[in-house]
Amino acid sequence: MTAATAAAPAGTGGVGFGRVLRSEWLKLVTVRSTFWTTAVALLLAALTALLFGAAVDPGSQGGTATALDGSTVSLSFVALVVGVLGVLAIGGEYATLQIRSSYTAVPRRWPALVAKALVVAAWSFVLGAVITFGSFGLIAVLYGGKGVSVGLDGEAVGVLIGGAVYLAVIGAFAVGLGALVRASAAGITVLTALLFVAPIILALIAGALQAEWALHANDLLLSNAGGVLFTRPAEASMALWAALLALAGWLAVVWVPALLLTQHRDV
Amino acid sequence: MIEATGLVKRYGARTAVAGIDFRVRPGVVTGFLGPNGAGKSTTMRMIVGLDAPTAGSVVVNGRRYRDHGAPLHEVGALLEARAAHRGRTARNHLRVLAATHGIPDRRVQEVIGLAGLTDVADKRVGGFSLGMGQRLGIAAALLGDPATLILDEPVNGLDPDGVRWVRTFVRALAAEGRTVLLSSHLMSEMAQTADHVIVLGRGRVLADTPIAELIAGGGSRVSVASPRGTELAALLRARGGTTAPDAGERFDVRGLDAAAVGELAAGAGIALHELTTVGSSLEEVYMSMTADEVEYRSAEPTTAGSAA
Repeated sequence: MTAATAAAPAGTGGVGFGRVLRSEWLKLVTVRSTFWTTAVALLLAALTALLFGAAVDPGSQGGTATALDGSTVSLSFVALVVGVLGVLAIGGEYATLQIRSSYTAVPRRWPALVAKALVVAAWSFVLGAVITFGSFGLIAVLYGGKGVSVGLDGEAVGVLIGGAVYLAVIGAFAVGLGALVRASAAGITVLTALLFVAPIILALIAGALQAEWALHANDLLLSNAGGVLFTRPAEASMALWAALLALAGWLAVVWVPALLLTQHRDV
Repeated sequence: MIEATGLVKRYGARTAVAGIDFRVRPGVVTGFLGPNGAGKSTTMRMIVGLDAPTAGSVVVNGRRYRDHGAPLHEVGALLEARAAHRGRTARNHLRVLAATHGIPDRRVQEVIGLAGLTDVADKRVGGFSLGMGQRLGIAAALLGDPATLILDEPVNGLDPDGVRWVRTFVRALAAEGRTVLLSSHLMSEMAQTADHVIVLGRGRVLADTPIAELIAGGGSRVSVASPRGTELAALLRARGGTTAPDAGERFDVRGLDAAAVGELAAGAGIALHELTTVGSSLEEVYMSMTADEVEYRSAEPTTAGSAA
């Protein structure tokens, strides 16, 4: 065997954000955990929609509104699946020392981290859209069989896209969280606590102390503020802009320290 | 060219690298030699910006690694065998790294061939042996066809064929004018591969010298066997040599060369059964060097509390 005498590949100008995005995309689609988590999410969502469509009768609020509820009800636990995907995307790199290869190729580090969040968010958005529109379609067919009419109006489209946006936010949040704690198990634990435990605790506090602030705090939680995105405005606990602001706050809580620490930490 | 100036790395109270200066020049293989914990890997991680120096700096071709626009074209580094996601195939691991620099798949295929990974390129890294992991690391280091290569313990885990391959390979890379820095705790390996050696001990540079000089500087001795050994030893001592042991049929002489020993024995009518010049090995030089360092360190009042 001879040494690597081939001239440097021509026309490669070095690291650019578009290239880092492509690299992160390749990372996402070349590990099996991406497909497992995605398959689990789709299966859960499809089962939920089928059960809902078969068992829940539209009440006084009508077919479309009920179908929308059914199309988004799976998002609360699909959010956890997407969160696991996001945490694993970065936690897995720390666990396998892949992170050293990654940060040797992109020594400024932040482009790799931001690109990873973008591809996970994009994947989650598409998954979310497939789930919400697919569930809506399934339920519409099942309701059609019962003679209940369901229509895809502007408000319905907004709710269904809002669900996809929520999953994108969770995916990006999870990548930031994973980068902050640098371990998959810790990241998934924190995420589960935030999505499922915190709302229960705040609700208990609100009930026990008759505390108004606990109710407001509960509304601002990641899962509840996120829920506003896929709730019809008439039923939402707050305005869409307020919910988006709260979600931006949650993203900042993990991303500001994650980016600052990532630049200086030894890996 | 790699240049370190006053490079220090502390992890909490522990000092891994205690202020070192060195240059790694193009066209030769430079070896980082030292026992585990000497600071070799830490220094290499600082060169490629994975660890931040506590003080001082290290630059590659005049710039910090992080400030290079196309770092994989400047420096190829093998710092850890299997620094790759277990679930990804070797080829996909390389494609992921190549993508950051727009390096085409053609080059990925090339380095797979160069590193001898053709048969396992589409297998997942999780199933790789340490040796295959090393080859994958070498393939990754070569991706950008860099002028500088940094290889941390590259022969670790390789079979004898692989060891010979790495040795030939790094020598060929240096002969092309590249800068090659490799580390090892195996002195025999270093003696066969490196032209220049930087010996590290406890985070300090103990020696920075061509390997031949290091060995020559260790001095040589003459091994002697004679039925009248005790008598000959006394005669040699009288002529300025030192002997060890001082009596018996076999002993080593220092301070006189083999010719002088032979002449003196013939002059006294003493028969010789053996007369051999024994050059010091890199290993011996290294051992005496690090032994000195350890004694020196433990004598220092500031380290009196340590267990060493």
